[in-house]
Amino acid sequence: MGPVEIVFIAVWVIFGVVGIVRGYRLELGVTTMLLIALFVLEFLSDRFSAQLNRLLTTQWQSIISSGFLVILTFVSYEGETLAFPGKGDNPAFSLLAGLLNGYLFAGSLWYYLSRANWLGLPIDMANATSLYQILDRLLPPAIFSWPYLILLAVVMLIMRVWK
Amino acid sequence: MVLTVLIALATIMAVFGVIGYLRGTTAGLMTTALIWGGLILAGLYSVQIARIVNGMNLAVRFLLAGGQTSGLGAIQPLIPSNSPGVTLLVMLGGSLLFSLLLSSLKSFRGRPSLLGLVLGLLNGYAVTGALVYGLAPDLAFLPMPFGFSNTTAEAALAAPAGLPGSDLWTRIPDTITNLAESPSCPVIIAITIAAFVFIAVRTGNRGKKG
Repeated sequence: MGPVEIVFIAVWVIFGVVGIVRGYRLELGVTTMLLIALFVLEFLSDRFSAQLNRLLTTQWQSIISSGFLVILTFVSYEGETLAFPGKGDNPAFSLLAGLLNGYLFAGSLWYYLSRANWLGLPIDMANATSLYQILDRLLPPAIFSWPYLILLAVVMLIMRVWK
Repeated sequence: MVLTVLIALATIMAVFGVIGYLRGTTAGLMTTALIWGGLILAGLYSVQIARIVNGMNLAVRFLLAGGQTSGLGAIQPLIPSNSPGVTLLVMLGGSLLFSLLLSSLKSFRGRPSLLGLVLGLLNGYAVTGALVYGLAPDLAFLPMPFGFSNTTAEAALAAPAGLPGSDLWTRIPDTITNLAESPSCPVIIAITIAAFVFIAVRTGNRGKKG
């Protein structure tokens, strides 16, 4: 069971490194997109759960959520970037912004993949380590309901346009 | 567990490699000298270092007690004797802190360089090796020079149990679990994120105007 959480921690750390390289102004744009994506997913699962459950199994819902998150993250990093205002690159802010994105992306992916039974991979959930159990409770979708996510996204957009 | 150590090794080496590349050769050389110097000292003189740290701890406690000697005998040593793993961690922490402070000086800043990347990877290897020796000696399969033999690893095996305040490590998971289950958890994290974004954006804007 060990490598599962270690893999996600490694992804999280790599996002931090990517943050240092790209700079916090670009990273905060990705943060905004991730918050909006999570808001959409959480809002749909909260308000339209009955309809979604009729259409899809829980596993398929989680797989689609993971796919949506991966595609949106890829587009946010690769496509037109919602850069925040400011001058210069503060490495500490860049690292923190990268880690925040890593938490939102890797944490949410962990959440949805674990709900999809890890896509059938032979992972023994019964013998989960205490680290896994602790981190599992701190994942973004486990903590934030959609009102928090939309509120944070609005705060991000206000910061984006605030002169 | 071997896979876990290897993933940790790759991640830490990658992080140190990128940081080394960005900071350049001069900062990389300084960091390498400090980290490897600390490891050499910890490998060769672990007993003496433990004695110095414990002595300094005793001296500070003595001063804080206003020169009273009563009760000093009951003070537990910061580094238990025969715990090279703990000494290694202390030296590693000191080296990293010192290199962080020094690298903020203007004279150590440089342009990104390939040599910096190589030095960063080397430092990442040393840091991972030292962390594994100090925290989980039974998993210490990474080859390390300067006296970190198997006997060192075996001696360090008993170290974490003897650490003062080691029950702290058992309390941390409980504290985090309680915090995660608390209704105020999302509020605290959301406010932290919003505060960070505010500070980052406003600081950046101020730089633009200035």
